[in-house]
Amino acid sequence: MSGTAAAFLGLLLALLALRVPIGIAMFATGAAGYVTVAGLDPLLSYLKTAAYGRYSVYDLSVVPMFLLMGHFASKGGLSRALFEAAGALIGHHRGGVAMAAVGACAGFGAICGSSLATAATMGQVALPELRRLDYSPALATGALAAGGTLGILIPPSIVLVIYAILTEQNIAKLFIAAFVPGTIAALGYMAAIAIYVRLFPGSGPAGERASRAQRLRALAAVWPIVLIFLVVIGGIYAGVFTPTEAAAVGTLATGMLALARGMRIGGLVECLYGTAEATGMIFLILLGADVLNVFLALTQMPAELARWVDASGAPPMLVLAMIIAVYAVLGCVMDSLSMILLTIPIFFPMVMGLDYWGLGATDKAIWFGILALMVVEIGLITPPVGMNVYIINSLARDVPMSQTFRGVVPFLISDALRVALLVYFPVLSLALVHWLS
Amino acid sequence: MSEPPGQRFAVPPDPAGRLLFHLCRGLALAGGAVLVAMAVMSAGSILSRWISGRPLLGDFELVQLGCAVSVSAFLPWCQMRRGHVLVDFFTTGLGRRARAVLDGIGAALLAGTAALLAWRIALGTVSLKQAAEGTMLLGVPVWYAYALMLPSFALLSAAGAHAAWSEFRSAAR
Repeated sequence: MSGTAAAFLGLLLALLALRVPIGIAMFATGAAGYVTVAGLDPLLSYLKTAAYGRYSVYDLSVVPMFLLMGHFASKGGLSRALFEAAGALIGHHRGGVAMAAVGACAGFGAICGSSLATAATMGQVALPELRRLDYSPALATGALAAGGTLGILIPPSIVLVIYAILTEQNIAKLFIAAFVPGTIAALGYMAAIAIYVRLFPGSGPAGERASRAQRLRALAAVWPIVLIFLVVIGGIYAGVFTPTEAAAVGTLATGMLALARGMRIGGLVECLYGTAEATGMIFLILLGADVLNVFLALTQMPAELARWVDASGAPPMLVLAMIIAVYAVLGCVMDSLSMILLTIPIFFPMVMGLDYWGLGATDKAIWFGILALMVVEIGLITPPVGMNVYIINSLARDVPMSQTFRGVVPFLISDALRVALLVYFPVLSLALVHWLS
Repeated sequence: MSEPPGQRFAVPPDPAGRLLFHLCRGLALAGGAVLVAMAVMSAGSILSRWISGRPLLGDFELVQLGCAVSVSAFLPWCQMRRGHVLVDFFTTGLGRRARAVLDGIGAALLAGTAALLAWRIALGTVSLKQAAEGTMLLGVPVWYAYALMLPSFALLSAAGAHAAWSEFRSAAR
């Protein structure tokens, strides 16, 4: 049966390479495989309920809500407020304005679950300022492309929601677990900038020093963001809200804040269109992945593969290294969510069957989830093509793509170090979860 | 890498395309209204829990129904914006025509998939209506949600077919 599964996975890769939309390629492969294994009639009767079954999941409703929240935050000028506050605090250091951009990305990531949205909105705000201060184009665009990934590394995170649903884990625990690694990511990016501007003097001049009054004013403008983050994430974790309720409260609060800061009805409609587009993209892939995974489960390939890996006696660390390598390669050609949907049903049983640091099942699932999140996000900034790099580069037309990719290198080194750190110290992901429960 | 969403976007020049564009956008707006209504209801449920100690009756199942209806309504608009991601890494070296042919095939597959789903959802609506299946607490007939999802998949199919037609036409030029 695993042979059938392998043949159809080959078909999937061919369809993907030939520019078939990812969700449709998964759907077509899954449907064709299903017919081969089980026959046409079972497929037709499954398809009657497939779309409703996949979309009517209570916890999935947080995905469009968090996307809408990010659009509101961007329309409400919160990205600018965050950048100004971070700039007032650390902008006067060498490379400080780039660090402020990273810090603002992290802040925006705390109310936005998407990397692309974070890169796009922070790029619009911070790039002109970095160019005005004569930052090197490589550093300016590289910092923003990398900083954008904080949108999804720092909770709320849409990739983590999908991982939680696929593996039947607790969304709240995953969000809390991502907090420390996300903060390490932001600090690591800032450290990368600090080292870069010392190696290449003149690449990141210091900005103006803000007065105490300016700092206080800039900080006062961001308190609603802190409040919304604490209510949303704290409320989910304390069990006051379900994730959907927290997302609903966060979305409505951010929407009202945006209205109070000058968003008009036209802006609201634009936010809804933007949310519709981003949501549609995610849910078509979700539906296709569902059909594909139902077929894979029929062939028992994931379970057989997990048993085979376990029986082969391969060192768990080697298996993990190979999984990370697969993500690194896939990340060059695919977006993070498609990667998670495609690989988790296969990799998750494999990892759960092996022993890592003697972790229990729940801890292992959380630790691997955070690790997978970190690794798939690296794909957003790796050559030959990375979506964040494209977005930032489209905002800075005069900077050649090669420069932006060169600017991303220090951040990739920081990413690699962080992944190693998270592999060897699961406590970084798990401590906060244990401490709070 | 998949293309950034919405990069190759323009309002279709032909009348049928323009009609589809406005239909898809209108449906997306309707889906957005359902989404906002869901958010308001969930927030209302929290308030009700604080005030009366009880959540709104059936909030859970209303979110389930609303989520299915609302995200389905977003699919055609995403297609109109050419927002459904694909892997373009292996085909960047191809000429414009070859790429247009491949994109036409991809869009045709999407149209076929959506038509298949629309057909099955239509049959599902009928059988659920006959079975008179309702949600647990409020007894809302589940076929309502199916019936509201049907236009979304039909429109997704039409938008895909239109995209396939315009890709093939551009390849022939």
